[in-house]
Amino acid sequence: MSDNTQKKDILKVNHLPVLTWYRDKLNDVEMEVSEATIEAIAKASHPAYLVKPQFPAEMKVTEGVSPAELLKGYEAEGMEIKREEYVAGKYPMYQEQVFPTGMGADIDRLIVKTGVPARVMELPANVKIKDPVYLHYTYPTGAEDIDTTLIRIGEGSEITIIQYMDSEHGATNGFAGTQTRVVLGKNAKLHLIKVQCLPGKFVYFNDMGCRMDDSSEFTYTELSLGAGDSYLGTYIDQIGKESKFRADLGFVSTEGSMMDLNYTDVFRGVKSEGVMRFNGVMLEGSYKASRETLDFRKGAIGAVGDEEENVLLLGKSVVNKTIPMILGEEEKVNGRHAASSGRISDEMLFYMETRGIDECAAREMMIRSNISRVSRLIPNGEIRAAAEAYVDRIFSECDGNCVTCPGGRH
Amino acid sequence: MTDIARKDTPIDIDEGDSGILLEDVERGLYDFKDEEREEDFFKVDEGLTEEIVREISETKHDPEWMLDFRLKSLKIYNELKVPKWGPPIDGLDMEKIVTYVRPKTDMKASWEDVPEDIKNAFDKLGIPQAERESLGGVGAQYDSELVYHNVREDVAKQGVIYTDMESALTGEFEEMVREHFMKLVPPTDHKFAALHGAVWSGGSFVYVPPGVKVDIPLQSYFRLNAPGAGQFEHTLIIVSEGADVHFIEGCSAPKYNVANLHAGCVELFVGKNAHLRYSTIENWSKNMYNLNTKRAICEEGGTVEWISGSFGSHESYLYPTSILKGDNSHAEFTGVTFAGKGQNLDTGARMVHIGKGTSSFIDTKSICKSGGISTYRSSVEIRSTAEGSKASVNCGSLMLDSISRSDTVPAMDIRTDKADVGHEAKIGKIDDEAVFYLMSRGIREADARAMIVSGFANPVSKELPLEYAAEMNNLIKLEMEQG
Repeated sequence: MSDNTQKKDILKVNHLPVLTWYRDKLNDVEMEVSEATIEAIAKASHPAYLVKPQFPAEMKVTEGVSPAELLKGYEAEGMEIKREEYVAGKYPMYQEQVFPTGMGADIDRLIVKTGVPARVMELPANVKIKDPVYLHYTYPTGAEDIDTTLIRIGEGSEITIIQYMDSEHGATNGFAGTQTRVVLGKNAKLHLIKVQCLPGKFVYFNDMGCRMDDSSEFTYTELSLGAGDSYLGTYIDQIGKESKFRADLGFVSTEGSMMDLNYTDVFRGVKSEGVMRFNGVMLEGSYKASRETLDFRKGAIGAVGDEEENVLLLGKSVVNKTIPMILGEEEKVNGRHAASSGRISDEMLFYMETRGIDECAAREMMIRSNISRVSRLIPNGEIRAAAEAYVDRIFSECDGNCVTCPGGRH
Repeated sequence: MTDIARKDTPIDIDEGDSGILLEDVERGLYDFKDEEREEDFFKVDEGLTEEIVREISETKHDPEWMLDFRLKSLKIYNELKVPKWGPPIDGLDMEKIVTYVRPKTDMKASWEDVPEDIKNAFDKLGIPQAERESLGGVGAQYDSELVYHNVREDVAKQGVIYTDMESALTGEFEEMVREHFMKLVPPTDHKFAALHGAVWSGGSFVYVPPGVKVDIPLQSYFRLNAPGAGQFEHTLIIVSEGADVHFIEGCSAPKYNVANLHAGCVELFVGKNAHLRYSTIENWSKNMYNLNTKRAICEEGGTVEWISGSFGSHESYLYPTSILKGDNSHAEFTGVTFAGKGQNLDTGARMVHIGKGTSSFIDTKSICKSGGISTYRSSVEIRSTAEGSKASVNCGSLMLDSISRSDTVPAMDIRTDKADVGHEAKIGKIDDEAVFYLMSRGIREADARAMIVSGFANPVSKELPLEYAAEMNNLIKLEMEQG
């Protein structure tokens, strides 16, 4: 792992789609990756920490695809046509990647530099898989890993994929990253679930990109519960008409942790719909910066976008930054975003107390309900239970101090 | 990120016989221009050099410290870069901007004494009439200097000082000016604040003594008539403890086919339990780069209210900032922006909560049409000290066609759990059913649409004095009829 004396690569990730005041420090974020980490990832055999995945017979899975070849492949598929649109777009938008992801081109460069081979998962047309595909990554202490996946869901097919990241017992620190690109064919449906329960000294990144064809549906559930530093980027390109996207992100930021996220939903297709919901809890001494963008491009007639963030703040020294943006170059759209940030209201606490629930228990209940808005969307009972157990651990590690109550002990 | 696609659009002018023919004839109320005879005006050379700054300072009889301030600001200006986050301003060539143009007349206290050509200009804008009917005091700036200033006797008797900045600076209020001048907006704030510090000229100084409530508004009107010129007026308002005042500023200019620049600066000091309302109807011509900076600071229990209508300019950067320093201080920003053909208006507000129990409210409406670009940009900052604070942001955008663009870029930075912050934004089009309903009542479609847009902007117009609300609605109607 890196320390201050090591050489580092400074990656600029999670770019805001349009720039704003420099002093807000929201235009992007720097992510440090040490040369030693890059070297370790390059030398490792991949997939390094994926625990015996079971893929359905109908799904074609190819391991060991060169990341550079994969990127060239996107160009060969004509995706660069869309890039021209971006460049020619109105001031000041510019997207460097052929197949954009939320964290941006520097993650592609990191992956090419480490040479981490990609996994390509392809589901042919008109196949409906009932049971979720389960990708479980278990990291030991000191793990340094990136996992790259391209998922193609053929026309009319349906599937649920769960990526679950946890650690071996006693693990404390490490570097874990995932990059996932998704291509959804016409009428295809994907529910992708990512649950991250890593120890507090892990650095974690999750870079996502998705292209959606006509009438496709993408449901994305992300639960980010652990890791000291986490970077989450998601870029959805609703190219097809009447495509539907829904994202639910739940997070808990613990003391000393840093979370930086960037969600962008681009509406291009006629009557495309997008909904993004962010529910989080921030404990004493945590930091979170979020960029949430609804981007209506010309031609997205009848598109509807709705985005909302609710963050519970439970600590004096929290830093909660948010920039929820709506970009519009199409007249006939409806876009809405809302954000609220604050404490649990005194009225609510008083109500709970009148029902015999003490303040501490009431706060814990509110926090759990905030997270369960997202965890209940996980169809796998075991993973849902594991996520809830992780939240239990956060409370149990408070060592007599009440982490849910500002100021500590009750 | 890169600025590869970041190109300024040319100023959209139809060339006529004179080469400076107006494009929008209907805008005649604001676009009229009187011939300026060279011999009636003093102006410095184009561009920005130390010699020019010294010349301005000497012409204005600055005290020594102000000359030093100007020169330091010039140095900062030369060191700072043009920001890349806002509308592109590569069409603005500072080498071609005349930073100081002064009519060869002293400031007059009687309207009759103002030179005929200048008086005509303001008469057409209705300024003296407004003074007679509804204002407590009026300042009228023509190019770089105030040409007229007057305060009603009853207002002056209350101890209210309302004068031009030069008189304040060189008279008995020099120390007060020195204590406050560019303390809220230091020249290091950004490149155009530094430019302002170097070449500022004109503007108003207002001092309201403790406990004094001024019942009728004070107003300054800024007219930039010279082609290729800049206007850099400085407005400094000090509202003492428990005092109350409403200040209105209006701006306009005729349209030329060369860039004009406005880089004014407004600094508002709101004392304990004082109240200040600052209203602006900005209607610069569409060759204007409006790079204006406005900032207020509120002491305990103080309130500042910004009412802002932005209609003119080729490009605008305008984000009035409220610093809520004192406990239980309060700020509101209510604004409407209308971006039409050839306009890129980047407007919004900033709220900085420092004191306990502070509260702020932002309510904005953006409208774009005929290829106009409207960006709402804001920031709400709740510092860790601002326990018990509340902030609410509400922004709505209305797009009237698909060749225009509307963006909302609101940031929030919250550093205490003991604060409640809410934000809501919407973007959409005019409701067809509402248009249909109005048409079924015999209203023309164009009128129905204008009516709906006026209703959308109503939160701003209802906060303005009647005659200004009417002016704003006329501007909306004018914009709706064009393009």
